[in-house]
Amino acid sequence: MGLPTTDRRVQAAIGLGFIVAGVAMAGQTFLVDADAGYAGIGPRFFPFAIALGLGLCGIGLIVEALTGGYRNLEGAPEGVKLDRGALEGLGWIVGGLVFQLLTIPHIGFVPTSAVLFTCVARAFGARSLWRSALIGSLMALTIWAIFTQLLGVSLQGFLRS
Amino acid sequence: MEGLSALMEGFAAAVTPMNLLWAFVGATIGTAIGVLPGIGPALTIAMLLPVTAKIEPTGALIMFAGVYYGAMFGGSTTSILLNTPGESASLVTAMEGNAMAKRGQAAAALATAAIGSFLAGTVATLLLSLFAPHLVDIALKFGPAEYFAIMVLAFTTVSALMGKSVLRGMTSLFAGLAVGMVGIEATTGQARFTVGLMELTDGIDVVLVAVGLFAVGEALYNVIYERESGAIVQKLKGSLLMTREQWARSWKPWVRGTLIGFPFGSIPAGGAEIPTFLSYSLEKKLSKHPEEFGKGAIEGVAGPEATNNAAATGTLVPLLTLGIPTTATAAMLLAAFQNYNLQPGPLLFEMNPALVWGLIASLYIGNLMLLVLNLPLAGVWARLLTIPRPMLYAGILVFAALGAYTLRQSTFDLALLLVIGLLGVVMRRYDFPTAPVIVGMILGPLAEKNFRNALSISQGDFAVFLNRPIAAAILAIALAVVLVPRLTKLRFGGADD
Repeated sequence: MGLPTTDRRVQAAIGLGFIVAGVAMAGQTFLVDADAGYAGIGPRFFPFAIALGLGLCGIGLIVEALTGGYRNLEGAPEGVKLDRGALEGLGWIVGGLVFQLLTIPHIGFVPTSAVLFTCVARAFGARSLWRSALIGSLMALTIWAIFTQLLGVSLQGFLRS
Repeated sequence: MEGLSALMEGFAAAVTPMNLLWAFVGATIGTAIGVLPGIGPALTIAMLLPVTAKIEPTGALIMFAGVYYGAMFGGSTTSILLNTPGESASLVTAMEGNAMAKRGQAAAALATAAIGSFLAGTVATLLLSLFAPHLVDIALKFGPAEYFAIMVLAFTTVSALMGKSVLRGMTSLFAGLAVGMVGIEATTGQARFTVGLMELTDGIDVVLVAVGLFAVGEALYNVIYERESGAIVQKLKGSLLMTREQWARSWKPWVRGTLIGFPFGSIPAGGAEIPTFLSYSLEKKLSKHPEEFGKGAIEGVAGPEATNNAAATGTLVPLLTLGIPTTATAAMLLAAFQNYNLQPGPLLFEMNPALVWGLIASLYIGNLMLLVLNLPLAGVWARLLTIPRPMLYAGILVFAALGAYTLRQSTFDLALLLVIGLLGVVMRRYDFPTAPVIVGMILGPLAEKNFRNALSISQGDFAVFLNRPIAAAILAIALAVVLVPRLTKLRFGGADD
C-alpha cells in the first residue's frame, strides 16, 4: 500500500490516542465508588472492561499503522492535502460555530444562526455574502417561529431583555 | 389471532386526524431529507428529538417512523438522478439506476424503485405484524442473561459485519460504549467519568453525538476534502408509467428482494448493505438480459430497492420486540422512546398496545402516502437536487446547532458539538464507521444493567451466561461473527485484506 508516511504517522497517533483514552478511563474507574452488591461486580467492572477494549484497539491500530497502514482504507483520496482553500473553509465553519456558542446567550438564536449560515455558505464558496445572510436570516426566523409559536419549544430567539 | 385484533386497534389509533397528520409530516420530511444529499434519517430524527417534549408519544413516533421510511423512498431519487448514494444500502441503486437515467430511462427507474419500495414495505410490515406477537411471547421468557447476550450480538454484528475493518468497527464501538458510560449510573446513582464537569452529570446526549458526527463532521469533511462535487444531476426523462415489459421484468425482483431483505433486517446482521448486494447478484444471475447489468438493467434497480425497504422494516422487529437497535437510525428511534421513558420490548406490547400497534399500523398508511407522494411528484422532489451546496450545508448546520441548543439551552453543548464534529472528520478520513458509536452509546448502559442484574441473580457466578442455553447460544453466535471470517481467511491463505 503506497500510503505516504505522514499519513501512517497520523494513523499511529490515532491508535496512541485510543490507548491514552483507555488508560485515562481505567484510571477514572478507580474514582467510582465500588459497591458490588449481590452481583459480586460493581459499577467499576463494565467501564474497566471498556477501557481495556479501547486500549487493545489502540494497540491494534498502531500495529496496523506500522505494518503497511490501516487495512482496506477507503477514506479521502490519496494525496489530498490540507491546502489553503481547505483550511479557509474549515476556519469559516469553525468560526461560525464558535461565534454562535460565544454570543448565543447574549443575542439569541436568530441572529447567531444567520451569521452561522453565512459563514458556512461562504466556506462552500457562496458568491454573495448578502444573499446568504438574507436567506440565513429568513430561515432562522422561520425556524424560530415554528419552534416557539407552533411547537411551544422554548428557544431564546433574540436579544435577552 | 390476537395479533389481528391488536392490529385493528392499532389502525384505530393511527387514523385519528392528528396521527394521520404526523404520518404525513414524517413522510414528507423523510422524502425531502432522503433526496437531499448529506443528510440522512438518523441525523433528522436526532435534530427533531427536542420536539418530543411537546408532542404525545404515539404522534411523535409515527412521525419518526415516517421519516425513516420516507428517507428510503427519497434516497432512491438521489441515487438514480445524482449517482450519489445517501447510504451504503443504496450503493447498488446508484450504480444501476444512474446507468438507466443516463440512457434516458430515469422515470422508469424511479417508478420501479417507488413501487418496489411500496410493495416491499407493505409486505414486510405484514410480516412484522405476524411475527412480532410470537417473538414477544418468546422474549417474555428472556432474563437479563439473554438480553445481555443479544446486546453483545448486536455489538459484534454492527461493528464486525458493517464496514471494511473489524478492528476499526470495534474501535468505534468501544468509543461509543465509553461515551455511554459518562454520567449518572443507574444502579447506584453515582456520577461516573464526569471529569469534574457539572454539565456531564446527566451524560452526553446521543443527539449531540449523532448531530456532531453526521452533520458537523460531514460538513467539515466535505469542506476540506470534497469542496467541489463533480456530480451531475440527470434529467428526469421518460414516462413514470412503466411499460408492460418493464412491469414484467420488475415484479419478480420486487418479491425476491422483499424475501431477502426482511430476514436480513430482522436478525441483527448489520443493516441493509449485504442483502442489497445479494439481491443484485441474484437478479443478475436469474435475468434473461445479464449483459444489461451495469448499463442500466431495470431488475438491478427493482430488486435492491425492494430489499432495502424490506430490510428497513425488518430492523423494527428487534427494535420493537426486544428493544435492540441494529442501525444508527434504529438507535435514534430507541432514543425517541427513551425520551418518553418508554423501553420498547415485550412489556411495551403488553402495557401500551395502542402505541406499539398504532405505530405498526401507521407504517401501512405511511407506505401508501409515500407512494402517492413520490410517484406523481417525482419531478418536484428532483428539483430539491438543484439546491446549491453552500445553501444546503449552511442550512444543515443551522439545524444541527438548533438541535444541540434546544436540548437544554447550554453553550457547553454547542462546544461539545464542535469537538465531536472535529473528531467526526478524523473518523471519516480514516474510515471508522459511525453506526457502532451510536449503537454502543445507546445500548452500552442497558447492556451493563442486564449484565449486573444477571450476575445479581446468580450471586456473582459468571457461569450464568453459559448455563442458560439461549444465552450461551447467542454468545456463541456473537463470537462466531467476529472469528469465523478471520479463520476462513487464515485457512485459505488470504493476506490481511
